[in-house]
Amino acid sequence: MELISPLTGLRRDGRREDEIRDIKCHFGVAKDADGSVLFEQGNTKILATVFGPSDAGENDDDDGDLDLLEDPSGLECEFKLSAFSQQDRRTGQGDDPRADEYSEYMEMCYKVVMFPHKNENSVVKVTCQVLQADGSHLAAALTAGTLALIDAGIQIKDLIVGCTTTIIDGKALVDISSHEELQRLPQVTVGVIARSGEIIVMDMKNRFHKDLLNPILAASLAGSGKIFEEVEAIVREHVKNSAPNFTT
Amino acid sequence: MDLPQINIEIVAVRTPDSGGRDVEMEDVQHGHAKGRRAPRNQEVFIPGDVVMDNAEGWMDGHGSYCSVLPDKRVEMLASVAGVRQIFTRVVVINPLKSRYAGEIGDIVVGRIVQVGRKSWTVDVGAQRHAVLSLGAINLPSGELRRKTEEDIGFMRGYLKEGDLISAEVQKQSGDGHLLLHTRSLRYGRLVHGMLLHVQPKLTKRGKGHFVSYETFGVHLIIGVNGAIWIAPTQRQLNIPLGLDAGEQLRQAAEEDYPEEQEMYVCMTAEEAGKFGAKADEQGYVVSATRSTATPIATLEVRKCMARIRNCIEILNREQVPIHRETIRILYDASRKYEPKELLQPAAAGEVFAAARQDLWGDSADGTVAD
Repeated sequence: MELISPLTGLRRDGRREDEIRDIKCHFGVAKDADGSVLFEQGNTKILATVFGPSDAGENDDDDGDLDLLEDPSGLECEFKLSAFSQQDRRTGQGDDPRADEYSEYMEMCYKVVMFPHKNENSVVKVTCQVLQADGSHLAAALTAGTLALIDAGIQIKDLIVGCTTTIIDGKALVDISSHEELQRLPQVTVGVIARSGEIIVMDMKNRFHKDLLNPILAASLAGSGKIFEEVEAIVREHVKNSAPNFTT
Repeated sequence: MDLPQINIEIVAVRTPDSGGRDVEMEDVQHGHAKGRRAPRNQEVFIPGDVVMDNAEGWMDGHGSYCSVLPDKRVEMLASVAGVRQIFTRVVVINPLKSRYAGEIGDIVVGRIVQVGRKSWTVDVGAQRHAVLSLGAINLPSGELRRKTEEDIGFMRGYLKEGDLISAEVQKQSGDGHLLLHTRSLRYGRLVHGMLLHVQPKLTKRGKGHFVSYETFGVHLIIGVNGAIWIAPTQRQLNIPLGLDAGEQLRQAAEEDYPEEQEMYVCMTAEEAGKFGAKADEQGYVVSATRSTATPIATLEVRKCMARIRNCIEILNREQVPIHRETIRILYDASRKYEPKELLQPAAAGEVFAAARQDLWGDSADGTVAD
C-alpha cells in the first residue's frame, strides 16, 4: 500500500507530509526519580526518568586512568526498547546493539547542553524506556530525555529535540510511524539544539543518493522546529500550572 | 477569593498563552478539580529563554547563565524551567523541583552509606554524599576528648551502614561535600520510628525542625533535605537520643522486663513468627529474645504516627510547605478517618479540601502564612 494516498495526498494516518503527530506529556510519573516524564508522540510512548545528580562515588573503575582523563560530564544514558513494545514480542536475549548506539547518541546530545562543571563528581542518569513503539524511537527518546531533565530541575542551556524523516518520490515525510519506517526508504534522524537548530547527532538508515540528503535534512529540521513548538508550549503550561503553589 | 472565580481566571490566563493550540477541555477540568490558584503575574521561563537581553551589570544566579553575543552584548538565558526571582542584581530562576542543596546550620536526616577510616559517608539526598567525621560526633559515653586509634577501630560500633542519623551541617568542603556534626544531644542515631521523604523545597529552613506533639506522644524531625523522621516522644518510650541510644535501650529493656518475657514490637504475625515469638491478643506485642527487645509505644501512639505520616504525604502531594502548623491543621482535618484510610485518594482529597481554608487563611496571594 502506498504511503501517500494519490487521491488526497495524505499519509496513511491522515497527516500531511510535513505534519507531526500529537504530543502529550505527563510529568512526575515516577515518584522515586528526580525527574520523569511519560512522553507520547502519536502511538510511540516513552517513559523517561532522570536520577541525580547524585554522588558518583569513588573512582574505582581500576582502569589506571588518571581522574583527569575520566569523562567529567557525569552523564549516563540508557535507551531501552521494552520486549512488549512492538507487534511481535522480542524474545532475543542479550545485548541490543542498536540500544547501545542510541544510548550513546543521547549522551552526545545532552552533554552539549549540560553544564559539566556544575555537576562535578556527581552523576546524572537518564533512562528512556520505550513502552510502545510506533516509529521515530530515537527522536522521541531524545525529546523525552530533555523533558525529564527539565522536570528534574537540572540545568541545561537549551532543549534537545529529535525528528525522524524519510523521503518518497521527492516528498519528505516527517516524524514517521513504524509502518513508514518499514518501507526500506532513506531515513534520517537528527538530534538538534532546539533554538539554534544545530545538529548534534544524525543517524542514517538504508542507502540513498546524496542528492536526497539536503531535502531530507531540511525537512528534519523543519520537523524538529514543530516538535519544539509543541514541547515548549507543554513545558510552559506545566510550569505555569505548578507555579501558583510555589513558595519562594 | 473564592474557588469558582479562581478557575475562571485560570482559563482566561491560559487561553492567550496557548497560542494556536486548542485549550484542551481536560486541562481546564483539571484546573477545576485541583482548584489551583490563579498564577500571580509570575514570569515563567524554560531552558534557553532569554531572561534579559542586556545583562550588563547583572549577575546570573541559579538557573540562569550569561552568554556573549557576537556583537559583544551579554545576554542572560534561563537554564531551568521555573519562575524568575530577582535579588538586587542577581537573577535566579527557581526550578519546580531540585535536589537538596545544603547550607550551614541545616538540620538533616540521612543514612550512613559507608564507614570510612576516620569518617562516615552519609546520604542526605544532595548532589554529593555528606561526610560525618569521627571528630564531629559526641562519644556515647558523653566524654569530651580527642578520638584515639581505638575509637577508629570501634567506629562501626557507633554507626554502621544503613543507620539513620540526624545531624547539622557544619560546613561545606571545597569540593562540594557537606560536612556534618552531631555534637549535641539533639542529634544522633535514630531508632524506633519511621522515615518519610518529601520534596526538599517543602521543608523550609527555620526554627521548628524538631517538633514534639506531646498530646499525641509523637516527635518529628523535619530535615531540611526532605527526610522526615517520625517517632514516639522520649516520654513515651524513654528513648534516649544520641549515638548510644541502642545500647541504652537495651539496658532499659533489661531493667523493665524480666528476661523470659521481653517485649518487642512486631507489625505482623508472620514477622513475629520469624523471630520465634508469640503474639498476644492484640497481635502486636510479642515476647522475643533480648537482642531484639525494644520498649513499645502504645497502639494509640503508633496510630498517631501513622496519621501524621499520611498527613505529611498529602501535604507533599499538594505541595504545601511542611511544618508544625500545616501538619497540625491536616491532622485535625483528618480526624474522621482512620489513619489507613488517608492513603485512599478520595479521603485524602476530602481532608485536604477541608483543610484548605485553614492552610491558606485569607491570604490572597496563595502562599501559606508562616
